[in-house]
Amino acid sequence: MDKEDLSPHVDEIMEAIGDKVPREKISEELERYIDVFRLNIQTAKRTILKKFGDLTEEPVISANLKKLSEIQPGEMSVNFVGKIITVNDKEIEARGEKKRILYGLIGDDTGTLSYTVWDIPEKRFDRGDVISVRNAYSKEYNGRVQLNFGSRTGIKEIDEEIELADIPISTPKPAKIGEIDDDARSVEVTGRIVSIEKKIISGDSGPREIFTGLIADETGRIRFTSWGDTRLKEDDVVCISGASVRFWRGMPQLNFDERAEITRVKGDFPDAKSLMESQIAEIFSLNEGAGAIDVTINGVIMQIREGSGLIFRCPECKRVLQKGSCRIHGKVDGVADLRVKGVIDDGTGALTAIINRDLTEELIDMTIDECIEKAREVMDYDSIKDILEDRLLAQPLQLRGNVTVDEYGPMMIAQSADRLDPDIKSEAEKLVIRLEESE
Amino acid sequence: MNARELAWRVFSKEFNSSTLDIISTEEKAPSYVVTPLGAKVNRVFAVGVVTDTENIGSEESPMIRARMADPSGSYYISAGQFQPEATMVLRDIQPPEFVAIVGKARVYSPDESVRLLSIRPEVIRKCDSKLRDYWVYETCRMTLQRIDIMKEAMEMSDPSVEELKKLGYPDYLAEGAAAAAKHYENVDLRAFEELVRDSLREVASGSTGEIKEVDLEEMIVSPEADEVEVAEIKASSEDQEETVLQTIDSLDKDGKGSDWNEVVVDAKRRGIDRERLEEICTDLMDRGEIYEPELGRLKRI
Ligand SMILES: [Zn+2]
Repeated sequence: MDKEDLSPHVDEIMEAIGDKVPREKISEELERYIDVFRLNIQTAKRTILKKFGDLTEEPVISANLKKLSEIQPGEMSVNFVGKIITVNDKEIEARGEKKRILYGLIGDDTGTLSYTVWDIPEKRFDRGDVISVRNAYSKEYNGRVQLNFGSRTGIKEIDEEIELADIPISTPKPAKIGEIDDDARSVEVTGRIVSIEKKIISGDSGPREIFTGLIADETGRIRFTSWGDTRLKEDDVVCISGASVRFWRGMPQLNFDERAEITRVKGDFPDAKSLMESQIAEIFSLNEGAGAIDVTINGVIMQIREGSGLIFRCPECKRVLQKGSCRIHGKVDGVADLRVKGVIDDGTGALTAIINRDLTEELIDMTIDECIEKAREVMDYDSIKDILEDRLLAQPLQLRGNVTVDEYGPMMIAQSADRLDPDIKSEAEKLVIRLEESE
Repeated sequence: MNARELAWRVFSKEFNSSTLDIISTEEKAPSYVVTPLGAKVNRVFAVGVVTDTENIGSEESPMIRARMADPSGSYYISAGQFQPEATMVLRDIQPPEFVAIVGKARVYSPDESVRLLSIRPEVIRKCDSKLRDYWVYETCRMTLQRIDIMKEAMEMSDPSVEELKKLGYPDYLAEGAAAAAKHYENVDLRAFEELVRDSLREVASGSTGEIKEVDLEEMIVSPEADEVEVAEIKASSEDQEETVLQTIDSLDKDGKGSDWNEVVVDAKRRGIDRERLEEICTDLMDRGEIYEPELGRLKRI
């Protein structure tokens, strides 16, 4: 290929990577890739961009852009431009490592598709952003095409407005709060506002008021965010129609703004206290759902997992140190922390509970300083795990907290943890009487 | 989902009278014992009184068998070298003593005349009568749930998980109940109801700590049981020898033998700890199956 012919391609590359690299260098490389390595011009350009520039900065050059409705399942490399309709954030565990992913809906003038981002870009996109995506791949999921953005995928926000296809907005589905799940996009719920607070967030156009809180009915409670003043007050009983459901860390949340139809409901509705008195959940029920907010469980500690006891955290990033070293910050002076990572089982299922320092101190009746002293006495920090086992294994506890679910089952971050000490004698009496009455 | 197997609360009478096993053909998939009330047990949590212990192994390598009484009979427990912590706790117990145990259900049935169900402990803790009462109450409550679902399942012409779920029963109960209703000819639900009622009365009246005479006939313990046990241990240690031999072979890339440190790492990955590995290697060397071509290397002969 002639040098002259390559010139416009070199121009394109220079435009993409800026003047970080001299033009002659790029020209030489491109020639070499084409003549020596016999790469086609597209691959050669992509390879150079990868080498010298940030792939995500790559402009959409001569790419074969597709409309969303044209994308088939099983495409290895698709390029398109779309507008982010929803974006959710979720923590998953892949090959034993915790990892954050993004997922949601993206649309263009031909339709919408769901997407998953497996490598979150440094510059995250937001709802309403128009992005240009290169090298995404597609799969089939539940009979629908699903887009995946992997490590090869370049995502770039572009300054362009696109019209979304006219998709009939589904009428909100009436739902009990405890039954809201993955399938629901737009719902109508009736419940009591049990808490609400105003928050100021900084948006593109200056600070903005939002309202967050909890709404509950007799089946459960859910966190909501109102993007604008919908004049809700604590203790109001309302029907909210047209709230959208989003999942955050596997837990559903409601989002709505002034466009939602909100009506005050008259008549009998359980008071806030009885709605908030957490019912005791059976663990099997948590296994099936998508996580739950503020659940109470009663169960027995079956195992104290590795990583329980005295741990040391990086003062910078709070990561747990391994042999005195932080994965990111190297050798640091660790800050001591105490925790229980325990398996709790109630006879219907098991979950992993993370019990923080304050709660652990209460449970084992020892402060972290006493633990440190004890460990130094026997010159073994692991000895604290033994103490936890001694005092907690096979003991019934009541835990309360939020539950998330991943492929290893449910996990609870405990907000409270107490030894369970029911009056078994009278409970047994009650049950005998009930049995005899039913005869 | 790789969710952990739940720990069933089941009275020993229900557990010991199980005759249905679900043995997985897939590697690493769990096996289960299905009780007459449809508990699909892989793991149990039980609290009771250890009434007797016996070391059928040696002083150096103890193998403890124990009986733990509950309101309905006794659980049979055995722990050996692969449960070092539980073995130590059991060895030091002076019966009678309250004990809480978490463990895996085991079935030994070398032929049709012998069927021995036991628990292989993961966790054993000494405890008090309060925990025992808590367990008895919880076990009564959950046994009643199983009696309920079994009543429904036994009335069905073709009991199935789907049908039971339609009635509102959760998966974990429906699976075992459907299997039990098909397998067990007639389950005496009244007897189990009585057991629950008696047990609840006992807790309600506060007669704690009293050990009932253990009905030994309930335990289908035969003299062969010990031999079965020993044979089992032997079999599993033979498996481990084979594993170690394979490891030594596969790590020997240049014919000069495999590096000891690599063998340790690989064996650990396969569930054989260093101490046990040393034992196995000494045995294999004694028997002339492996040798040390140079210090720190092992080679198969
Ligand atoms: Zn750090």
